[in-house]
Order: sequence, then C-alpha cells, then structure tokens
Amino acid sequence: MTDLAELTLAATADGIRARKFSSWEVTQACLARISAWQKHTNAFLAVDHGGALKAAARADALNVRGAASGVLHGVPLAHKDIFGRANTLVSIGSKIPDKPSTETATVLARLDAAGAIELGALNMDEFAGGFSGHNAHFGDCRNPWKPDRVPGGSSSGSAAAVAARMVMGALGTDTGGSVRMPAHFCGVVGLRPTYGRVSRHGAFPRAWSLDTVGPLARTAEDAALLLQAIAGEDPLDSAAENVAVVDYRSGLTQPIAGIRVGVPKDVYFTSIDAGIASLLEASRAVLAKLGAVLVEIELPDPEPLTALGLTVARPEAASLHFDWIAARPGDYSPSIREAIESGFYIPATRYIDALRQRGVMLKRWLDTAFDKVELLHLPVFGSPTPTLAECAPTGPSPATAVGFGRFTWPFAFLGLPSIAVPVGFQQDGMPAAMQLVGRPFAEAMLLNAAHLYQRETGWHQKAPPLPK
Amino acid sequence: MPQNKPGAPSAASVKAMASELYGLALDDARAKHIAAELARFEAGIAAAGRPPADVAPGALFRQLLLAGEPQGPRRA
Repeated sequence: MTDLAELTLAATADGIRARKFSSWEVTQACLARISAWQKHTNAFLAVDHGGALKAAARADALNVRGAASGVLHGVPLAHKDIFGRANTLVSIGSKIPDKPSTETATVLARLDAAGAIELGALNMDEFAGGFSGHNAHFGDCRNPWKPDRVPGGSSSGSAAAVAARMVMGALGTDTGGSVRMPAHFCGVVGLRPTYGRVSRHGAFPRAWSLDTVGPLARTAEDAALLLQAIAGEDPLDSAAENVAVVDYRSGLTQPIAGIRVGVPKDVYFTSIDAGIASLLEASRAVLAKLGAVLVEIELPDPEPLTALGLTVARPEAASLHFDWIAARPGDYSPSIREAIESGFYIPATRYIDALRQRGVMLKRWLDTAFDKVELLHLPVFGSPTPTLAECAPTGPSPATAVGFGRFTWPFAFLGLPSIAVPVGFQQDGMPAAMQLVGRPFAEAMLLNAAHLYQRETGWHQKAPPLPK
Repeated sequence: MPQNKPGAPSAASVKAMASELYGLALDDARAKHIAAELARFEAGIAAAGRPPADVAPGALFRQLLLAGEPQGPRRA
C-alpha cells in the first residue's frame, strides 16, 4: 500500500472525504515520518502526537456522519511557530516570549474551520529575522536533501517538513522572501500572496508594511487549497483587503496559451550560477511548450527596491522590539539583534520617503513591465545552496549570505504576488526553483501556470530519501 | 536642503545615538557594521530618486494594488 504520507494534500483531502482512508491513518503516517526525520532536520519545535490523533479520530467520526467540515477535513498540517493559538505559547523562534497567546490567528482559525489538523509547531529563524534556517535557541533547522545545507528561512521548518513529507502543507510568513527562499532550497512550492490578500492577525509581525502569510506545499494545487482556506478580508487586520477570493483550484487547469511571460535580460537577474540558469532555461521551455509566450523584457532597476524595503522593514522591526531590546538584549542572537537595532538609526524622513516610493515604484513596474507581460519569470536564488556553516552569523564566510533575498526583496517591496516552483536539481543534488511574479491579486494565474508546469515535469514528485 | 541629506549616519553617530537615544551600548565593530549597512541602504534610496511631493506614504501603493478586479487565471 502507498505510504499515505507521500500523497499530496489535495489527494489526501479527496481520499479522506471519499473514505478511501481515514484521517487517523494519514496522521499516523505523518507522525511516523516526523519520527524518522526530526533528528535529521529539527524541523519541528513541538509535536502534538496525542492531540493530533484525537483530532483525526474526531474528523473521521464526523466524516462517517457526512459532516466533514471543509476542504481540508482531516488533513494534517503544521505551521511556522509564529501564529498565535489561544492558550498556547508561541516561540517566534525565540526564548523571549513567555505568555500564552490570548487568541488564535485568523489563518489558523480559518484552517480549523476548513477541518485541518495541526501536528505541532515548526522551526524558524529567530523572530523571522533570517534567510538561512539558523536558530541559536532551538537548534538550526536542516535541509532534508542534505543536512549540512541551509533549508532557507525564515520559514525553515515549514519547507523542510513539507519536503520530507512530514506534513501535507504548512504556513509560513514572507516579509522579504521567507516563504520563497526556503521553498527554493527545499524543493517545494512557496507562495507569497499579494500584500493584503491574507490576514496577518495573530501572526507575530516582522514589519507591518511588508508582512504576508503564505502556504508552502508540494504542489501548486495544494497551495491553491491552502490559499483558498486562508485568503480574504478580516476585520481584525485592516490591511487584509476586501477583494473577492476566486476559486483557485478550479482555475488550475485552464490553458496558459497566449499568456506572456517576461524574461528579464538585465544583468541583475542573469548573472547567476550556470547550473541554476540552465534549470531556469529548461523551465521556460516547458512554459513555452504549454503555449506561454516568452517575452524578453527590460525591467526597471530592481536594485533600489531591496534598499527601500529594508529601509521600511528595519525601523518597523526596531519599533516592534524596542521594549525587549532594552530589557533583554542578551536574549537575542547578536546578528538578529544587530539587524533589528539598525532600524533605530534610520532617520524618520528616510522611512517616510521609502513608504512614499513604494507607490511610485509599483506604478513604474506596472506601467513598464506588467503592461507587456502577465507574469515575470525570475530566479529565487542565484548560487549553489550554501552550507549552514558558510552562512553562520559567526562562520568563516558570512559573505555567502549576501545573495539571500536578492531576487525576493524587490517584489516584497512592490507588494506583488510571487510563487517559487521547483524546477529540478543542481549538480550537487540540491533543488532549485523558478520565481513567477504576477500583477496584484493574480494568485490564480500564478497557481495556474505553476500547476500546468508541474503536470508536465514532475519535479515535485521527488522526495528526499528517508534517513537510515 | 541638499538632496543627499540626511545621509546615512557614521559609525560614531550610530554609537552616539545608541547611547543617547536608546541607552544601548554598541561596540565600535558593531557600530561600524551598522553604519556600513545603512550606507548601502542610502545608496539604494539615492538611486531611486526623490518621490514627487504630492505622493503620500502608502496611498498610491494601496490605490494601485486595488486598481484591478480580482484576477482569474486568464485575466490579462
């Protein structure tokens, strides 16, 4: 019999609903995977065996009575430990938080309503402040493909757990690339929705103006189901916009013939590792085979967008952490503290200018890039996957970390939706992803293109071998 | 006021602000590192140029995000 943990989220949800297998069986299979993988990846900060199995049994009982609660009924998930759950202590990857949450994050409440089961809490970079998966307090998260390599961050555990088939899907947060980067490094799909598509209420902030919540999953179809459950306005998050949520799953199989995909010729995007460039080129050929029209395009200069994004993010993080930094500076990792502290010294005028530039820059990109194409095709990361040691804050070559966020920050600043989709494996066996970027609220188109690409390729079906 | 003001603070300014404004102790190496990073941000901001005077923080950005209808899979 197929190991149920190897099923996609969509197949699992459909199978449970059709009573081909039970939620309890799937949950058991995932818990077995966690047992096998945890010491090799440290993806989980906590596993709730008993609670998960009880919830699965309840889901099965409801299903027998024809009372399945939603599209994710009985499906086991786990999430970055940044989302509040009432009466539960959420670590945010730090030892500082010491009080249980008083309420449940909107996204978790929506997943609950859709019938999902939660297996535990996933590792992350401290206060969502890194891209490498290091965590000095709970231990580094490791990449299931090669444990010495970075899993990416800050949603490190989310990507590692999905890649190793410990969970069917996971939520992460993406301020400057924290969903897309780990998706690239671990070989899973990661979607950063449009700013305002998904409520952040109850998710501990990194930078209010930039934070988004997004799914990590094995397939675009799985990501579509997760997005369907969590998207939409929320009176508890004033930034969660009243924009209609389309049926993401039903649109997945529409032909993409005629859709124009922009391929930038700027050195900024093309000066990348030859192996990754080759994988990206092959992925473009697949999109072309599907009927997409590849358009070589000159983009506005992306370089200032990262600086502008950080000029917004750093003071917001400094404001958020002001009391803790003053009271408990020694409880931060030095590199995380320094990144937060730098926000204290950015003049208010610069912060305001960066926020003013956001609209100006978005208009420039919409007028000069997205008037010619519907999607952009870009790298997520442009170098071979570094080791954890190379990227350690105190390691021998911290310069390795320079490329982190290079291709993700610009689109976070612009607030545009973007998706990381696995496109194969580098020479050293590590996965790589393409990044597709769309117009505001074009998540359906991103998922549609990613789904058709995955149907043609099958990279998403490859999983890291179970540890011996 | 010159276009390039206020520029990124020097390491000495960072150290002074840390102490005077926030009561934080920064060693020279960290102050230097932070100042270098802020200078990189400043260079990026300078490259973007000045936004028009009538652009308020956040307003145009949100207006543009919401300018279109929700986009289905084939909406161009």
